[in-house]
Amino acid sequence: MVLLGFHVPMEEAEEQQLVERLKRQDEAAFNELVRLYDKRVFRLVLRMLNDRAEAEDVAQEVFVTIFKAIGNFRGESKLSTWIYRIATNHCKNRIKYLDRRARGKKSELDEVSEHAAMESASMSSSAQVARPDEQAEANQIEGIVRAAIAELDEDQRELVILRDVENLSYEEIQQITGLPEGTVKSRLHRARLSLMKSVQKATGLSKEAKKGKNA
Amino acid sequence: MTADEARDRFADAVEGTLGEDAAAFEAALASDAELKDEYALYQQLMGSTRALGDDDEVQPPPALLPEVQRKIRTRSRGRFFRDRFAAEGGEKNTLTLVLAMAILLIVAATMVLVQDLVVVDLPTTTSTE
Repeated sequence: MVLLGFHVPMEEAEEQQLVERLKRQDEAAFNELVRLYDKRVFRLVLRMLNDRAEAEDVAQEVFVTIFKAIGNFRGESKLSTWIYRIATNHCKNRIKYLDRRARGKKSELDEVSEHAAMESASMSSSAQVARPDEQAEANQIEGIVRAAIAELDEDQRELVILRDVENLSYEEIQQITGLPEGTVKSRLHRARLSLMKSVQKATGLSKEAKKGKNA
Repeated sequence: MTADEARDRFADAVEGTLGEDAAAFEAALASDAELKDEYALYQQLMGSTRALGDDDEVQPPPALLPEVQRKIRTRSRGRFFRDRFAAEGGEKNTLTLVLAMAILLIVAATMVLVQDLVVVDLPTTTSTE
């Protein structure tokens, strides 16, 4: 359902109707489904892959798979959960494929922290601006966090994105990943601690760069 | 609660699921400034990660749906999401096109034949002088 440009969660009956139309390979129903989920799928895929071109291609493949496999959807989970499972599986396969191709992975974290360090250093050297305002600092932290998520291994990244970015429940995450709740929680905790270290490292670098510039 | 035990409960504290351990957790934070800073960073990190979910800058490409339709059309060999020409006319349109081309060919051939058959006798001019 689209209301004033925002997608709101579907009612169960409404979702069931859509699924039935999809199972009859109704093209209009499929177009509706793409419009309902395109943003959520694309955002998830982009966060997982951290590469827009790859994300565009994988997002397309996710919807092609949905069209082909909707007959296998038994309604044991929510449609959105089933879609997220397809999306995360596609992402993992693509990551493996890209790794096999030994595609050089650029360390965006270093790039962002270096950029952040330079930015705060240049801001501190300015006579008019005493220090970065809170919004700029928040944006900077967000950039660092985004890059730090991309540096996590794919299993940890998947959990952080599903739980912390997409705000899914533990039950939904269990259905998507097939992992028991205890494993989800412990892996997520390790992932967050790892993120925290990366952020500490990156912000530490910024502070050092700032100090160096001031000295 | 030790600092390590408290560290293991950061997630529960952020999600509000500490239950009866909440007081012990607070006490652990109050007695360890480093732990308190770590927890503050953890909270900040969670806030920043959640903010990524509200990021409206990430928009799917406008061509996502047409591209998905194109892929399905190709892989189903035109069974689904046929293009407008095929969907609206299909074989009928193709037949019309072939007929139109045949008529054009016939007209062109007839014109060539007529040019060869018709001989125009122009009147000869005679001198009056």
